[in-house]
Order: sequence, then C-alpha cells, then structure tokens
Amino acid sequence: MLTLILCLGAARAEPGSAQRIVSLAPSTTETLFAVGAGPQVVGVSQYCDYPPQVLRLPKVGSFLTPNLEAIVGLRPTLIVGLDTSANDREIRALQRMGYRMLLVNDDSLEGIEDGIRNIGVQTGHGAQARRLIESMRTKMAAVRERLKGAPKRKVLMVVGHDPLVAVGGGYLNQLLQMADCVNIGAGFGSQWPRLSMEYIIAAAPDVILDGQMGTDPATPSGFWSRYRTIPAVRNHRVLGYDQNPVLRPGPRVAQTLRILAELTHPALFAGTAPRGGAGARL
Amino acid sequence: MSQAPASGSIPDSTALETGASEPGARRPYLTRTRMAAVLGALTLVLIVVCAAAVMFGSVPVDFTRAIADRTSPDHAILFAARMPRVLMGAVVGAILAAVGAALQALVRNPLAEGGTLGISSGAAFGAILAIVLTYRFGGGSAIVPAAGFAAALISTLAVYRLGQMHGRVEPFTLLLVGVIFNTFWSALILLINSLVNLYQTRSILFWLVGSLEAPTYGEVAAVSALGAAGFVWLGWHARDMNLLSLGDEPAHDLGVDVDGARRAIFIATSLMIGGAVSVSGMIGFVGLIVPHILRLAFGADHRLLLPASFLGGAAFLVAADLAARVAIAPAEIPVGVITALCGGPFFIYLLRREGHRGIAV
Repeated sequence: MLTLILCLGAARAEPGSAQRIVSLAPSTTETLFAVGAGPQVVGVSQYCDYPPQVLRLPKVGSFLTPNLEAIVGLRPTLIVGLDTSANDREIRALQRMGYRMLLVNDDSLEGIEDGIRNIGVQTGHGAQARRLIESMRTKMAAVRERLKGAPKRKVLMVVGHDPLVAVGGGYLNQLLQMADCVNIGAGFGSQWPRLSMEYIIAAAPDVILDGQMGTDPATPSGFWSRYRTIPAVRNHRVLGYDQNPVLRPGPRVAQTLRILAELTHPALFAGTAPRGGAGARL
Repeated sequence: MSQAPASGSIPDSTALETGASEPGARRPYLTRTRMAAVLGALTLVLIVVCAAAVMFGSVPVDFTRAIADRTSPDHAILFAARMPRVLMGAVVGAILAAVGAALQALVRNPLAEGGTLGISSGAAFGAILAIVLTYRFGGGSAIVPAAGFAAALISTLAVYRLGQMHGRVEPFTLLLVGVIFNTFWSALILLINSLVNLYQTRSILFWLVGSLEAPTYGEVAAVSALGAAGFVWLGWHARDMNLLSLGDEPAHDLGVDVDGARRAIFIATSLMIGGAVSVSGMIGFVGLIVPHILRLAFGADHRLLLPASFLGGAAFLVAADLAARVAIAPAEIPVGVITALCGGPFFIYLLRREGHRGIAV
C-alpha cells in the first residue's frame, strides 16, 4: 500500500541479473545491497556511503537534485528512489522518458518493510528480501525481549541543536516507542518539529539524544549545560549517536533500535558488546 | 530655513524634511520636547513589548516559583531560555533598524539596508563557511560568530572600495555593488550547501532564514557592546546624515566631510550588522520597514530617526519573536518568516496611505 510502483515501459527489462539499477537515496541503496541486488547497481546518489563498496560507484546527484544526464548515461533498466520525491521535476522527466521506476516509502517501519519487499521483487531477489525482513523482525524482537519490564524513559531526540530539529514522527518515533521511550517531540503533527527550548525545559526529558554531538564534541556541553534543570543534563544523560545508521530508514533499522535501546536503558545492556553508536557524553 | 526656530529647538540648518515640499506636509521642527515625547513613547512601547515577551511563551511559567526556586524548571525557562532570547531580540532588532536608517541616508535610497548592501549575506557566508570547516576539522563554537563578523567587515570594505568611482563614493554605484555582492554571497552559500552533507544543510538554512533560538548571555553581551558602540558612533554623525540626504554637493557646501562621514557610517554599520548576523542569521525586513514606518510617522531628521529606529526595531523584533514562539507552540516558526509576513503588508498599507512623501530619505 505504502509503496508506489510505477512501471512505465515495463517491457524494457525483465527482472533478473541483467538489470542495471540506479538508486537515488542512501536508504534504497542499502536495501538493494542488503537483498543481494548490489552487483546490479550501476549508480548511486552522492549521499550514499553504505555499504562501503558504493563509494566506488558513479554518483548521479542527490535525491533532492538527481542529475538527469548522469542517470540516463548509465542506461538504467530500473531507477529506485523515494516516493517523497514523486513530484520532483527530474522524477517526472524520467517517467516521461519511459524508465521503469520504483519509488518506495520510508516514513514508517511498515513503509520500510514494504519498500524492502518491493525492491526484492522488482530486482528478482524476492526470497532474500523476505529473509531480510524476517531477520530484522527477529533482531528487533530480541531487543524488545531484553527491554521487558524496563521503566519508560522520557526522551528528546534531536538531529542537531543548531537549529533544534527533533524527531516527531516516522520510523524513529516508532523505534523510540519500541525502546520503551516516551518521545517528548511526538504529537505535534510534524515529523521533524522545531521545538522551543522552553518546552524542552518544561518537558524535562530523562535522556537527550543529540545527533550533533557525534561530530562536534566541543559544542554540546556548552549548549546543553546552560539548562541544568533538565534531568538529562543534570544526570549526564545527553548522549550522541551516529547519524549513520540511525538516520537511515533502511534495512539497518534493527541496529538503530538496538542503539536507541542501549542509549536509553544502558543498565539492561550492561555486559553485552555494544553495537556502536554510543557517542560522546556530556 | 529663514524662519526662526521655536525657542528650545535644537539649532540645525537641516530641520527641513527633504520629502516635505508641500506646505501642509511640513512637520514641526525637532524640539527637545518633541524628541523626548517620541523617544519616551517608543521606550514605553519597548518596555511593554518586552514585558509581554517575558510573560508569555510556548509554556506557562510560575513566576513566584521561578524567582524563589533557582533549581526549578520555571527558573530555567525564564532565565536560561526566555530572557536571553528577549534581550537578543531587542539588541538585534535595534541594530538592524538603526543600521537600515543610517544606510538609507548614506546611499540616499529607500532600499538600502544590511541585506541589500551585501553585508548580511557576507556575514552569513562567513558563518556558514565556519560551520562547514569546524564540522570537518573541529574547533570551538565561538569560531562561527567570529567568522561571520570578520566576513561582514571584509564584505563591507570591499563594497565600499568598489563603490567608489574616481576616488569618490557614488551612492548609486555603492548600492548596485552591494546588491551584486548580496547575490554573489548567496550563490557561494548555495554552492557550499550543495557540497556538504544533508545534515549540515539544515544548519545552513537556519542562517539563511534567521532565528533567535537559544542565545547565551555572553552572546547577548558581546552583540550589545558592538551595537552600543556603533550606535554612539552613528549618533555622532546624525547631523551629517541629514545633510547627506540632500546630496553630496549641498552636504559638502554645508561643511560636511562627505567621504569621511560616509566611511565612518559604513564601518559603524558593518560592525553592528556583523555582530547581529553572526548570532542570529539573516533576519530580513527589520532594517527596511522599521525606519520607513518611523520616518512616515516622525519625519526624516536623523537625530530623532536613529534613536527612534533603535527603540522601534527592538520592539518590533521582540514582538515578532514572541509571535514566532507562541503561534504554533511548542514548535517554532523562524522569526524571519514573521517579520516578513507581518511587516510586508503593513508597510505597503502605510506606503499607499501616505504616498511617496514619507518614503523619501
């Protein structure tokens, strides 16, 4: 349902190993490689950096501004992108030219699963896609199992504090809920709300996850330490996270759930090998 | 100028208002009483607006608790989040409006302000470059405002140099050079924007739209110091601005060191704008509409217009930021959006009602 399949000129290519695939977003690139369609990928967006071998592939611009000429030059038989860009000028132009396009949704966990399933089917790797989804579900269930009976944590998760863009909805909000967190950014009708500092102080989160900390260890202490009444600041629970994979709505969401659960409920994961992501502390 | 000024008026040959050619439109001379009345009223407005901005916000605050209990969230909301923001709004608004008034006189053009002269976008470019470089190579958070400030100065000096023809400043050339610099800096900003990763583009947008989000008292103090120093410097030249509004020749004949005054005003304004933009990004429209509205209301004498813009700009930006904070609370709207949305239509309304008379600088 959530996935939009646009098969224009579908006769051009049949699914199989002869496909030449161009991927327009980091998350769809990850999915293509995760379902085993990696060898068929001939071009990726400039933001794609996972798995590492995509760094060697030709770049076709970003998913905000795909480069038509570069895409056409790669003679793709399938172009995979995000449905949020369905109305973009470049996407419509590619459709008019008759390219087979697969635009998937990555706004929710359900959308991500649908996207993986569809990418699998369209590239002739349906079985691998099903196994991938199964293994993601198993990993996530394992994290849920470990969290059983855990106290709810009030959490603020921001992409960065300059500006303060918070996680309000989408798959990250779902993952936070699965990690037994109450997301203080949720419920304002926006997937990425810009919250006011006053509200954050009043909401008093127990944990603050700040994506800007991983990259800029000097700033956050200066930024957050002004607000000592926030429990997260007082108790040194302002934590960084690695934006890659956390901000990638693709097959690594299970890993992201594990990272979020470890950061918000460290006691329950003590003694287990960290799966990465735990960044600098305030 | 033949009429004897009313007793108690400030003696100045430029009490005439340049736009007021028809007798009925002549405003009263600038007397000390009138100056005190206007500035007193604006100060009152500023105090009321600031009080409202401290009272209201995205969440309600228990004021007794905020003052009594220093460890309460109420205290933090009021003193760590709201107060520095209101103060920063006042300082930045005052700077933008006073600078707009001064630059409009300097280049004798109603479109002049920090934005159109390329100063603000120069500052934004410096700040954005610093964001990207500190992201890559590390460095303290103070580098970003410092870079914005330095870039504003460089941009101003470049515009000033290139705006000269045969060793003399041509106001029209200066404005054109400024407009081109503005476009040039904007293009460089967009170039950087297309080279960095997705997460950094958010920070860049933040500088382009302008916001008063989460300032520190240190930043407020630094920008206040710059603003105050620049404002005194501008005030010193208020009389020169009146004469410069008449044109270079008359100003020169009336004893103004035209190039000297122009250089002084330009440097003062770039110091002020550099400070403001380096902490709040490019907040548009304040420098344009506030001086024009005040000019329509109180006339074009810069001895009154400068301090009036200073107070009026402060009140306007604090009010706009209050709206930005409460409109869709607890989420926020960038304050630059509010200033343009409210300021634009109101300005057009005034313009249509008053005609061109009041717009002349």
